[in-house]
Amino acid sequence: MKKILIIEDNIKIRNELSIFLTQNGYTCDAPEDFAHIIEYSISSKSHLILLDINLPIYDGYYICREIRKQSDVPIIVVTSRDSEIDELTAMNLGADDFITKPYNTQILLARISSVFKRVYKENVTDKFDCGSFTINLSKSEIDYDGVKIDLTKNELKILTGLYEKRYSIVSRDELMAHLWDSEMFVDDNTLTVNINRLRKKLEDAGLKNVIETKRGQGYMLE
Amino acid sequence: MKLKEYLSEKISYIITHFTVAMITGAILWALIPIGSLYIIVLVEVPYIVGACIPLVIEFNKKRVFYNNLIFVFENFDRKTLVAELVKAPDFREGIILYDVLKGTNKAYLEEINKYKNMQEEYRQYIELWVHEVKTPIASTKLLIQNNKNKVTSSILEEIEKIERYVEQTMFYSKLNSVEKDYIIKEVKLHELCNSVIKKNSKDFIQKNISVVTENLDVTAFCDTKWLEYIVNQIVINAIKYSNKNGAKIVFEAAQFENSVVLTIEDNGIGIPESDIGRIFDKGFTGINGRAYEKTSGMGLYICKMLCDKLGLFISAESQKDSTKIRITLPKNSMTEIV
Repeated sequence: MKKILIIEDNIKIRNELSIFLTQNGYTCDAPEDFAHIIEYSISSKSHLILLDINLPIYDGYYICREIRKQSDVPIIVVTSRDSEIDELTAMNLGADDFITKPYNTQILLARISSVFKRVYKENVTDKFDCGSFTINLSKSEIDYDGVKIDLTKNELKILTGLYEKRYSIVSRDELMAHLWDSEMFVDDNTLTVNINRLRKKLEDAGLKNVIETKRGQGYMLE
Repeated sequence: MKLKEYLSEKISYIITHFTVAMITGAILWALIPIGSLYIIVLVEVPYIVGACIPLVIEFNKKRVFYNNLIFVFENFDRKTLVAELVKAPDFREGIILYDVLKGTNKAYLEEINKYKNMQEEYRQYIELWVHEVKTPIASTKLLIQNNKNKVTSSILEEIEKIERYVEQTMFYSKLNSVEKDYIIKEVKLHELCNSVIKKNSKDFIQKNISVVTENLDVTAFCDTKWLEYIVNQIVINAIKYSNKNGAKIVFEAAQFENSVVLTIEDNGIGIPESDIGRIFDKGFTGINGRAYEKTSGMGLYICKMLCDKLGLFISAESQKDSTKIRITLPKNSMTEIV
């Protein structure tokens, strides 16, 4: 499991961020002592550091520079300073990414995972096992007992959206938000059409009732 | 300064000397009866010439100084700096005037600087305040994220409104110093529009508004952050004034020889003809602003000001149920070579 070090002086943000990231599958370390933060950061052997800029004792930029002298650990600067100059400074000091507060938590997660992918050349699983069939992300298809079913971009996104929250109901709005995050700006009708097409494709291949409709609530992957 | 004006000022001097010349002439006439005309001429001519020489010298000096002063005053737009641009005179009256002018200008500049500093300090405070307030907003949003339910979702909507207002304050306070905080670089319009659409995705989905993007594979040169703010403001308005099923917002770009035009069109309630000319005015809310949600009339004003600063052109066009906002971004052929 990837360990994230949160360097943030605001207690609430620190705690909530820890909870949020833990819920999303990371382990978190959030030190409270800022006097020895540089030594701590290096010895903590984290996989990623989320670094605030306005900190007691040492400025975030200084911490960033000092860490960079000794370590290549990825650093994402999270700050409420939002001028281009701040972003440039952060990048010049060796930060891997720059996010301004107040951030969208989904964007934060996406940035973290993209840094992980880039830095650790993470072998992202591109195959999801859904019991009776598997989704192959890189080929955009479903493998059902050796039968391959090609999926369109939208259909693939719908299926992964349902897969990520399997065993629970995914509302239409949530599903749409999931698609919109990937810049597929579908409207209500298009979503209905896409789901129907996807169902038909699955049924044609013999996969019946994979996507269950929960009337008035949304969809669920069986 | 004209000779006539100068002479009319010196009228007492002239009269005195003329009178003295007359009296001496009359005395000479009375005392020396024979050949007195020659003697009178011999005495009076040098006297009159002698009296005129200082007049000519003085006129010349004053003419040079005052004409220069008037010229500078009339031709330079920064009147406060007149005293700095005039050559110092070498006659008493001029020196007094010159010194006083310099003194008042200095006092005037100090007064201006006092207000400049006050305004700058205020602006810095606003920026500081915005940074400060972002932290509690961030922590509230995280708290909501970790405790999702109906109530907190509703609070989140309100928090996001606050966030928007805070952002507006920030941009407004920076309006007068845009030049200190911008980087012109290549902007991919589809990336910029996508980012704005994503930012507002919740509203789009909730209100069931479709998004259409056309020909956005275009690049322009601008500051990303400011342009994104402008486009975002327009999109927020388009969402706010969408009123029906089948609402749609179209993003479209077109390239011309010297410009790129980004058009954002909605099929909302439209802007009445009586209002359209004033929508970019400060504090203007119009019929729609009053009838629908309360508005401050600041959004489009800030957009317009930003466009002016960034050298963009923004215009609006509206029919009964559609509004088109166009942003024209200049495109220099020089940039293509690079």
